[in-house]
Amino acid sequence: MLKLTDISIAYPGKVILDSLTFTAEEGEIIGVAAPNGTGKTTLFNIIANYTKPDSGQVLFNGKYAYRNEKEEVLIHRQLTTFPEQKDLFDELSGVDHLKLYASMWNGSSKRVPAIIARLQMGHYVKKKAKTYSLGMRQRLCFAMMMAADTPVMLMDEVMNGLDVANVALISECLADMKQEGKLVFVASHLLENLDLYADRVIFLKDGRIVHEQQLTQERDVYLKAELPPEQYSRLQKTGTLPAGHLYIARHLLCLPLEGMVIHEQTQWMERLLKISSEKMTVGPLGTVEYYEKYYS
Amino acid sequence: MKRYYLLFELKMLIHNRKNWLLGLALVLFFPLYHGQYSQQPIESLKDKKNEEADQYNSIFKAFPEEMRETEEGKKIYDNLTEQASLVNMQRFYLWDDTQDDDYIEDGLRLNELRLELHAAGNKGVHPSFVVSEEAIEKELALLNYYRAKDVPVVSDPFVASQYVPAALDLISGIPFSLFVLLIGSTMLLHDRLNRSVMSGLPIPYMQRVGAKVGLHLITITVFLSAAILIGWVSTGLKAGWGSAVSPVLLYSGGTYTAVSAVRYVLLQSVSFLLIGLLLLVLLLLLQELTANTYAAVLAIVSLLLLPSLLYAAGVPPVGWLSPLAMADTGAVLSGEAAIRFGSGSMDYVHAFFWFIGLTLFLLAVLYTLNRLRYVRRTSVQRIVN
Repeated sequence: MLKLTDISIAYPGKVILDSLTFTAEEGEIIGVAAPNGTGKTTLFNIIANYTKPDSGQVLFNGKYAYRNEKEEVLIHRQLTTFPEQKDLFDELSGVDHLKLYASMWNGSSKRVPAIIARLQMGHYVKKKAKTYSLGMRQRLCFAMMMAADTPVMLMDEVMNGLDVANVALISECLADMKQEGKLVFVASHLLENLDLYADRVIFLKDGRIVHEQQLTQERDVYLKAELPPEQYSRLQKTGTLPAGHLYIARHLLCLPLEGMVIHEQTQWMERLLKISSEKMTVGPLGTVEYYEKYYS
Repeated sequence: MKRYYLLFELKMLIHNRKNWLLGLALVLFFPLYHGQYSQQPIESLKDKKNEEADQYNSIFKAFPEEMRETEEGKKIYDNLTEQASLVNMQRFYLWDDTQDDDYIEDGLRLNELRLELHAAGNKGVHPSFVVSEEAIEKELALLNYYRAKDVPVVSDPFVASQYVPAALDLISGIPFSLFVLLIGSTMLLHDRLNRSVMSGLPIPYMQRVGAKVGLHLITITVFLSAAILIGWVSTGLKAGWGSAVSPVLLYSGGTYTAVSAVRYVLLQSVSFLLIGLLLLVLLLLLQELTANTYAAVLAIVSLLLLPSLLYAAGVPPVGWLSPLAMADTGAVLSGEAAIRFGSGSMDYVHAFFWFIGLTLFLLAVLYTLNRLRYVRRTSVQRIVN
């Protein structure tokens, strides 16, 4: 559905994206994890053609590639980008914003009342946007994406300013979008939340995808324990740490359980319980752990 | 989609308080300016004819005695004598409304005699007393109009039918251009301030341009129509309505014709709309190029002021400036622009063609610039790949 080939862009003194190649299919939610300033927004801007890459190509549905305005309009009919809160029209109501997006992409605003109900915006959506709180504005931005209802959605910092209940609500909506076969890119700093609905998470570093975490496939299981660096050094000196173990961000020891017999697993748990002051967990590595691995 | 985009742009336009304020200022200008206009010393027809009659005393005094002895000189002297008589008869007829036909007949004969003198080279007449051919044409146009339309010769200059064309002439040029530029200055505002909401809308660039320019032009039309209507009604109620067919002089095809006040107002309105369209498109183009509204407005105002500034500085009028000078549509319709530039083709028909031609040219530039964005992008990708 969407194919990025050799996308490169650099600003003076800094490479933002370096020969990035990537393919995404419909019905996928793809998380994009990276610290600020590492190219998430630039990547979205290039996909939407708001920023011109130095080289490379964005191919949509195997045929459209922003070669002319006609192609751009055709792609934009299938793609929406998440509006920034500061860009909402202060003098217009939330309903006005929703009607604009619904009518521009679908030629009708019939779905707007259902979206308002779903996102529990009824109590404020008729007021002017300038009266909204941060969370209300964020929900409106998300509702605008729902109103546009395009097959591809690029959501940058979608959970910004939302409380726990609203994060859960938006997460449910994202899961529904996936069921409807939409391709959704989500850049969010709520990394644990990405694990709930994303099919895969890509990690950008130095302009490249350094890791692609598949969340829907079977993953390696680790024994994870909080461990101070000095304890880890001692363990290292014993030379007993299994191959493939990870020590993430100088605080989390992850031992791969695959290949260990039950007896060995029990032994390691007993050893770690003695030296680890924090809780110990068993499971695959999550987005948070990978994030710390690559960016700490 | 285009309809929904138009509706959205319309909503944004309605929410724009600055435009309402400008519209209100334009609407209020017409009734308010009448107060000042009615205090102006406007020369009446009686005053004009009295002055003309007085001039003949000087003309006869200055006529060379030696010329009166010649056959040619005698003819000229007789011509001037008849002119003086006709002017004095006109003065008499002006006292009685029922003698308008006589006034017109004598006026036509008077100007015929003046033209004969011109043909004879105005020999013996001091240059300062020669009535210009332009003035003769104007008077003939008015006299023929009075006769054809059966309109009273003497009219109150402060009634609605006289005031509205004069007020429109006053706001033509820089004042109206500034009004258009200030209204249009926010055309691209929300595309910039609300970029992430607006930039992804699936609508082609030229359709956006069309919607923005079209809606702003409609706004200007509505305000202008309201201003003319309110100006006409308020003046009518205050000072009298006048006659919709009262004559106003119009310069066209190198000569003067008299047209009805209503026709003049319509022509002036069409001129305003065409210049408005041209300025809106130019403003949009400059805003795209400079990404700065103030710079764009300042550049256009400077451009429009250029002919007047050069004229004031004593620089002889140059041909390429004439389209800019045509922005003062009042001067074009009255023939002032044609006299200043010494060009008989500076009439409203040529001005309309210029406005339409320049607008189409600027639209073509906008279209090409938009196309080039993609051409450049594709070629960059090709080179890098």
